[in-house]
Amino acid sequence: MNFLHLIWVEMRRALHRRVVWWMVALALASCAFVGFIVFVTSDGITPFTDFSHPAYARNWSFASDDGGFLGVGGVFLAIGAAICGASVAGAEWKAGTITTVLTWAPSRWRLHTARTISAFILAFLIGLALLVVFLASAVPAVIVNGSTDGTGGDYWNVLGLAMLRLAFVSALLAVLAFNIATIGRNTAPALVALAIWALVGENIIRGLRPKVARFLITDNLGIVIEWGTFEDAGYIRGPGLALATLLLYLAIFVGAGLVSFTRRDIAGSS
Amino acid sequence: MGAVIEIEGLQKVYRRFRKPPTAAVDGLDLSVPEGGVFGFLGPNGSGKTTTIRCLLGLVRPSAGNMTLLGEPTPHALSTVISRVGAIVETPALFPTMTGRENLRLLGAIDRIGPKRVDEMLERVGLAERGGDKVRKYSLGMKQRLGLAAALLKDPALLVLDEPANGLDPAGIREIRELLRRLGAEGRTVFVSSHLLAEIEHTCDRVAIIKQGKCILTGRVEEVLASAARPVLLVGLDDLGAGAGVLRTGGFAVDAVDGLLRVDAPKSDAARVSKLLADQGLYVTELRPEAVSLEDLFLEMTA
Repeated sequence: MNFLHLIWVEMRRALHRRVVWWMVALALASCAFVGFIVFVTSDGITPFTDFSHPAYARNWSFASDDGGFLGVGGVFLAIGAAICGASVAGAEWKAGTITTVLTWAPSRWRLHTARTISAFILAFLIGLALLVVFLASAVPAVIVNGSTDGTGGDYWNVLGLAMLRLAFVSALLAVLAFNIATIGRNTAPALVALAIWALVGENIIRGLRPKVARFLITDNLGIVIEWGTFEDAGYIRGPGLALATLLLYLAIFVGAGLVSFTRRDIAGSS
Repeated sequence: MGAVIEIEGLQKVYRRFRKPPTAAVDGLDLSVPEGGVFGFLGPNGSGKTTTIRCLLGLVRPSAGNMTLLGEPTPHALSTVISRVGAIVETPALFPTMTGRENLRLLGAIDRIGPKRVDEMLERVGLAERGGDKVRKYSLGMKQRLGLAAALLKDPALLVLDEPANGLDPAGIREIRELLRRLGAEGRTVFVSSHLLAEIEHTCDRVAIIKQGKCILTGRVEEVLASAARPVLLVGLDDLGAGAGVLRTGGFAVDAVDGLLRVDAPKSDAARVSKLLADQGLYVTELRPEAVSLEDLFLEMTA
């Protein structure tokens, strides 16, 4: 069986998961809600008193003072991608469909690799599309009450690249969650483990060993998303090195997921 | 090709933390010839499903060699899997999708189109319910859908683990007829079941396993014949008088369930009948005692 075809089939399988479409629907509804709030609050704004309002398109990128309109959407996108990634793996174990699939595609390393790649591609494409919709939700406010002053070719290039990086980071988180869920054969524990590590574990390490912070996932995610160094982090780390660190994490988790999947007995009652 | 499934010395030992190792399969040897329906019998926990899982690469054997359609498994499983259809225990399909969607998704792996999916739904009697979500299916319908999934590939070998599980009598009969047809088409159907009467009526050959070892294998009629005892069952109006006559004639006789049970081979039937008739006792029934697969199974696995 052609490997590219297997990736394509796994993308189709993932797209048949209800959780994926629930998350997309939730994201679209949130975009509509955010667009409505942005439009309503943009009535009567001025560039001097409401300089960070998203009705001014120059505030969409990370370069703005409060992290930018795009950053708000990026956080939720990353969370949604992790949930979908974990669910796509966890649901297969819960429903037992992994057994059925293996009676069609018995090479486990091929199957796991194809599923990992398909999770990455889907999370990236859906993430990018949702970011476009998210920014588009502020367009009516820009047209009616705001402006595109301060934006130009360079600005849109920077914004476009930031969107690509956000989609990449979301896809990376989806793959991490997918592999953790594969190791644990469950969705919820994978998400809890990921959340506890990101919100608690890394903060403790950052507090106790500031010099180690440069190796943490969240620090490197931040550096890659902003594609610059953190000024108040106490260390200097270039975005290229941060990207390499993230790819190393990705390789470790995918490798662990692969080893776990290929060596595990898929046994029921005998 | 001689055997479609060849198993030599298969062993699967489960090791669990702070518990003694458990041998689910313990040196199993088995050969399944090409064509027909092969019944794989054993009591619960005898290692049937573990054997099937080993064959399909779902469980790694601790020792032993296996071939599937002539290729060593699990190493070369990928090369033959497109000719093997399988159901392992209860068919696992996505409950929130329709039966048709599930089959189309599986079929996509082997580039099987929607037409074939509809044909298989028709074949297992689910054409009208193919658009329903699987979570609304009864266990019997799920079994049929699993069978449709296994048949999608047009397999040379079908490996079915308890395919009649959860089916009502009509469903069991349908599955029995379907398995017979599949076997008659030249496919090999390897079916594990605890419904012994079904196996007896459906299979050409059987193997019985106990505690992970094969204790009996062969053609169903040969297996039953080898287990048959030389006993004749005789029906008479006057059992007491008949028993007396036969004992006088040198036979050991018991009365069981309204019949005389005479220790004599089938070749003595005429002599038994004549002895009774000479004394004015006419038989209403005379037949050799049949051994059912169930009797044999219970005797061998007890």
